[in-house]
Amino acid sequence: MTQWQKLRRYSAKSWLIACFILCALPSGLLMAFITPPGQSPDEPAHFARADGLLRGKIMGERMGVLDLNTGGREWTSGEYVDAGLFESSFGRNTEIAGHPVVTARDFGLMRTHPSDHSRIFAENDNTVLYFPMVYLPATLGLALSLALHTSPYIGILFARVFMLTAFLTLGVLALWLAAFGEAALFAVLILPMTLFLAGSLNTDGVLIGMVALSCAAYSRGSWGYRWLALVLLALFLSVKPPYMLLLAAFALPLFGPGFWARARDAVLAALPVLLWVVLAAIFVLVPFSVTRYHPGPLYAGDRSIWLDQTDSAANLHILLSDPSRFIVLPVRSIALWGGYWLEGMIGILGLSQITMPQGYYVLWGVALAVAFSGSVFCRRPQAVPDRTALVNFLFIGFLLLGTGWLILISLYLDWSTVGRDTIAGGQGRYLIPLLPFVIFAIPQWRGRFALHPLVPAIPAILLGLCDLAYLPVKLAWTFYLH
Amino acid sequence: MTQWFKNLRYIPIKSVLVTFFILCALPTGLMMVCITPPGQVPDESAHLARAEGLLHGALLAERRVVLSRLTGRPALKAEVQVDQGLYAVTFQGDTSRIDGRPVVTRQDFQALMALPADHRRILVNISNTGTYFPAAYVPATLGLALGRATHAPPYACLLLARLFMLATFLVLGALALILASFGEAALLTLLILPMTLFLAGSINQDGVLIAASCLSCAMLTRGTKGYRLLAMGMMVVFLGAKPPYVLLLGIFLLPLSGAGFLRRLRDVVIAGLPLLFWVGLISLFVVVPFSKAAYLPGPLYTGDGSVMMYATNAGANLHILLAQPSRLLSLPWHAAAQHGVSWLQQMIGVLGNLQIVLPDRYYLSWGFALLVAFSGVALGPRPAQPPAQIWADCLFTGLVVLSTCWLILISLYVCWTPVGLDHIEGLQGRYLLPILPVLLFAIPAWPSRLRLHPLLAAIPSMILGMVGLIYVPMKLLWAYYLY
Repeated sequence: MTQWQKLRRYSAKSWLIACFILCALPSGLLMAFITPPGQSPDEPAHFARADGLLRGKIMGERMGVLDLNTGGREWTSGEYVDAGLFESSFGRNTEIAGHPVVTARDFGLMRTHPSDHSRIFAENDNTVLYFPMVYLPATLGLALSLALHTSPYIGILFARVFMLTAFLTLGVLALWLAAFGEAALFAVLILPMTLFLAGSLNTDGVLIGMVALSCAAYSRGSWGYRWLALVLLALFLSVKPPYMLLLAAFALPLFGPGFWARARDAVLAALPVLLWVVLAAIFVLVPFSVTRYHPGPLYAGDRSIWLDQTDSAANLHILLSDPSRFIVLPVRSIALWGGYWLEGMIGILGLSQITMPQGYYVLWGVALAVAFSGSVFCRRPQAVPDRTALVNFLFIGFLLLGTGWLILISLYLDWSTVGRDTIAGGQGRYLIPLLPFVIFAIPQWRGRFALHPLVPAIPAILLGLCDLAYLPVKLAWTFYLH
Repeated sequence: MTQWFKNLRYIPIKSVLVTFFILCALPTGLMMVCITPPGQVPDESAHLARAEGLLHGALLAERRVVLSRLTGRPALKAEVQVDQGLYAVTFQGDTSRIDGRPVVTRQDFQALMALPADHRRILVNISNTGTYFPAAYVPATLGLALGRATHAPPYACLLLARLFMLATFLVLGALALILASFGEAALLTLLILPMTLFLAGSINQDGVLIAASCLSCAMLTRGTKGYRLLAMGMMVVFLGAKPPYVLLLGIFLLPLSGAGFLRRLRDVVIAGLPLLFWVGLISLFVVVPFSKAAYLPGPLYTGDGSVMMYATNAGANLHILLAQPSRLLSLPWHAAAQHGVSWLQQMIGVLGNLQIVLPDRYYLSWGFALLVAFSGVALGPRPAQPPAQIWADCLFTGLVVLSTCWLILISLYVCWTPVGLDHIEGLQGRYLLPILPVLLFAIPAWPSRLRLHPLLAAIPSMILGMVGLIYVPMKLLWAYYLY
């Protein structure tokens, strides 16, 4: 057998996995090292959760503190963390021309930041609610750094590398297991935003990998893989409960035999998630502290008062008082920021300050469209009747829209300031975990013509290769050039 | 899944090595292309001038007498006409100096990006690269051509030229790993050395030439007539750029005691002819002494030691060597004793214009990886009839390698070192890299039934390659952008 013949024996799946590693490993590693600590979304908060887990803290703590504005007592959540590591997780930079830039002095200070293992309470209202499983890789990285007595800066890098490793493992498994839609999963997994998150302490990278793996396992259709997919999705949902509707995808096919068994499984999978949500609500959940503000125009009370926290009940009251707002507010927010969210889904890096050229977003949009639409023409292990495919398409479409709506409503309730007439806090990256489910909505072409699974991935592969240089260099220029 | 596992078992080890090579070399090389400021690679402006000249059909540089800016005296120069805007960009990488090192400020970078195209032709002296056979510049030339065709600004043209050189390196490297019958681990190690990858992502032709040398040796390991001729062709192209390595042609005589020695000797002589033709051509029309800052001759000069000199003088230095033939050995020996360690470090990786030194532990680790990879040649599997099996062949190859090193040093003394110096100037560790693949034939097969898996010998270099994926680009980033 010649070398060429041997090389041809690589399956399409192997090529995709090789391309995934080729694109994701170097880009992820470089982003993990180039991005200064604290320059990924909520990185100190994610760090605090990972470090808390290292001390056995499955749940955070609720604590009463003095409200400096009112002199009264207010509640905050958080956990006790290693002081040196926590301070390091904010990084150091110098504001030059409105940009955070790492100078040689900043870099020196970061590297030489001394270890300080005293425990301090880190206020952390958001990530404290997340089920801690997904922080395990970062926790292991921190544990290794503590065992090796490295500096806090190296500890942060260790934690990032471990998160990246977990993402890569999940991504490879997803591409390996997927019965169809590999190109689409591949495109989602090497999106610039995905890779940026994967090389950080933010859990979203690992969660995207987890959803991709869940969908890939589900695509195989067997009972065992269905349960694996359910467990993975339940883990994901325990960090992101507003995506709960996605569990309904496991009831597919709606009109096939065994529907009730599938529905039961989905409900069973939801139970631990609900349990976690209830526990977190009882013991940890607190309103988010924000800078002082007046209530927004939808607030029916006295709008001259000052507030410094979110208020879910007040915002729920606003929604219920005029139920059309359940639709109007999300639609208005989408009209205002929909384009921005799509860009954010593809890649707005750093603390949402590093945008790419418009052409870049268009190219990635095309790559995603090709990867997903190409799945129509790829062979699948089981042919689905046309009527079932139509129902699947409509049902998944409904689920995705419903999940998007639920995310926005939950952001209005939990994150938006009281009485706002728009929804605050939406980010493009929240859409990425929805994308893998699109493969179940895509019907299959029944003709004799079939595309090689690698073909729809070609635009994404090419862009992924370009990103090998583009993304790290973009970050380097942003954070170091001054 | 079972089927997939079955497929996995069929994936050849060679493919793993090729994949790993791409995984290490492509991202690192790309980062080198983008991060290294223009002109921060050895002789990059001279290499760019050669590639750009080729774009306009200048196969050879032109010899002219011009007034030297260095000395204010008439001097012979080997010049080529170059696009002014493109040539200017290669000097934009060293505009700001902080703490004595070149750094790129935002202002520098914006100026670099905004540098306008200027297609006026200016004459540029390229006494060194003007003598190189231009084949290795074709990728850079294509990159520049693409840049011109798309009206890209000079900086983008430079990046395109680097990118094309990197692509060529990757293709040659991957082919070398695919074709090698043995010694893949050693070749992989050479191909992912920090210095190799740094050169591969630049317009300096050395990256491509190292890969060409690896490919030539890889083809020779196959032992068939066709591959032998291809390997010889590749080696001749390499030697066109590096004539002092001519003794490497000696490996094509192997096996010395096998049948067909005279036929192989004839092939080597035939392969040497175009090389001789090229050397004759450049000697007649291109080669000029290298201009130097005014200097007094060194202690070995027997003439008037007070006479001021402004260029090298090959005739004078050759006379010094021949006047006392022991110098032919003593000078290289002293140079090796004095600078040997520094050459070895440079061979592994002293980046930039020899100012970015890596930690000693890093050199030691790579040294260990090289050692393991080459030891693996002895213990790894070989084809049934390896070309270099017997001790005489191994000794002969060792002699070829040593004498090539010697010849490089002597040629540096004759052509590059100021007249009469008692030491040799100009050798850099990277010059040794193209010689290393030849060592595959100097290592005998271990006469036992124990055979190491080819991947095992590559493990240290694979680990270091993965570390280098981050470390080398970050080192450049810190060196040029952090201040």
